[in-house]
Amino acid sequence: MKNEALIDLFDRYHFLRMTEQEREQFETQLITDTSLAEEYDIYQQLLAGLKKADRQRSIAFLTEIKTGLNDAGLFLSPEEIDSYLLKKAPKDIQNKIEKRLQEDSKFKKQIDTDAELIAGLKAFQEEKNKNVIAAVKAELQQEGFFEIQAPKKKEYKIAPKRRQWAIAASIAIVTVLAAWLWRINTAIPNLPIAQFEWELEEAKAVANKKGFTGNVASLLTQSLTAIENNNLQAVRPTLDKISLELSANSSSQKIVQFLNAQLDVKEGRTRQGVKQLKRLSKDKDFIAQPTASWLLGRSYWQLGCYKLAKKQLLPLINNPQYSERAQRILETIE
Amino acid sequence: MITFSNKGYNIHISHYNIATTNDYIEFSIEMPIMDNNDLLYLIKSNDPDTFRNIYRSAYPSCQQLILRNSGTQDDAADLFQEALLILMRNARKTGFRLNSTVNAFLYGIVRNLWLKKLQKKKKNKIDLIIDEEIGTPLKNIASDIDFSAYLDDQPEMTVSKKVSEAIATLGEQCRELLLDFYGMETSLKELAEERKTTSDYLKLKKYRCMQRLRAQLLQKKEVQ
Repeated sequence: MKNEALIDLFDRYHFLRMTEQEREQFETQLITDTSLAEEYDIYQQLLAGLKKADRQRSIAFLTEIKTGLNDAGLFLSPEEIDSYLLKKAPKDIQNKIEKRLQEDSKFKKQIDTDAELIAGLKAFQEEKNKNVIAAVKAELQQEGFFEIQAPKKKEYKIAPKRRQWAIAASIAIVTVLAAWLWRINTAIPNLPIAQFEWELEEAKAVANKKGFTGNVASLLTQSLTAIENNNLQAVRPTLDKISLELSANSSSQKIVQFLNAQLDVKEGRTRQGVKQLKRLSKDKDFIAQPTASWLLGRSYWQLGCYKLAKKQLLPLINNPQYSERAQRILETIE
Repeated sequence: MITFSNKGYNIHISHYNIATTNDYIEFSIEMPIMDNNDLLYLIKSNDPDTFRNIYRSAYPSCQQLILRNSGTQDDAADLFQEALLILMRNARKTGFRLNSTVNAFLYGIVRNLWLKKLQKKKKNKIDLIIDEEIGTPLKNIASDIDFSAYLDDQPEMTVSKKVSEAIATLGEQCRELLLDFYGMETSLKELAEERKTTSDYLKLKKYRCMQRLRAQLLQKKEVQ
């Protein structure tokens, strides 16, 4: 920095004493001429206070310049300009810069360039950040991290005592459900069996048996006649009258029940009739037990309950009276 | 707490103007020490291990939130990545404070981003289903954060090729300093602390680097 003319040039540039044209010329020279740029660097260091000897003089001078600019309302510190460029400037600084932008085209050009460069720097940084995250993400993806993170199924912890109750309740529910399902499967449809054929042999034998009071014998014959004549409305009242005459659980009473059961099935109170037949078919003391059993199996078959029909008819294969008929039905089922 | 330090004369020289102060007094207000200061420091350093750990601790709850609200695994992964970028962008900004946990912050960002996306689709108010066990505590922790301030924080990405090329031609030290100061908006004071130097030195260096960058851009424009 020996050349006084050079110092004067730098001073004029820094202290804004150049015309716009001179300033442009000087800046172009700074870019193209490395030795000038080096000199200028030294000059800047001098001003920055690195060279103690010149400091006092510089400061006094610079303070004077600053005061002048401040008075004109044009002084802007680098921090203020940066804050404006980073969109963080307070309103008053913003106004001051905008005012200067309107008045100083060189300054405006400078700000526009800087804004363009800062946008570029931001984008560059963003890209850099993205690359860091993308690399980590790709690495985790390879490890299968994103699949592993599927939400865990919620576990419900139950105290042991409550667990016992829960198990008991579950068993009860399952049992009820199973029973209900079984009942649904085995339920007898309450439909009349149109082609129902009466089985009256045993009833007739009882009616012809001696030892009955005249009233009971005549009533039983009366009912059998009504059945044979298909006058079903007259059957039930007559059978009720006989029932009143006979003692409970007597074999004759059971015959009356047997007729009643058949009447129920014939008239469409099928469930009730089948229930009675089922009971009589299991009663080994009942003289018409095989017939009740046959009638029950046949009713099941006629109602479409083939599983029940098969179960009921299979034992009758050994019964000479019903073997053939049971066999015929079983063949249709299989 | 206020600390004072006498740094003697301080002269600012810039292309725009010159400023000087005599008996320059610097004072700063110390912020309370936060639990996740170290974590923020590591985020600022772009440390991959830190991001891996953040993924492992914060991602599951965010994914659950998205999946419970008609999103897919891909939606969750994309939104979490976006939330991490927002965190990175803000971590370096001077004045950014993480008052909640990082997990809660990311959860809040993901929640708001997803809400915004859904509202764009359905155009009416939507309430997200939040898991009581995980989501509610995270939401409560971050209840005082105004997430909307972070959502429109995307930098403009329309940058000319010449600018990108000019940045690429800068030396590494210069580029890093300008990226930290302008790209990440970190103060010179913080940068000086990180680099174990003075902010005055960085101010000068930044000025020179910026000048070099301007020159590069000018050169590229002239070549064309």
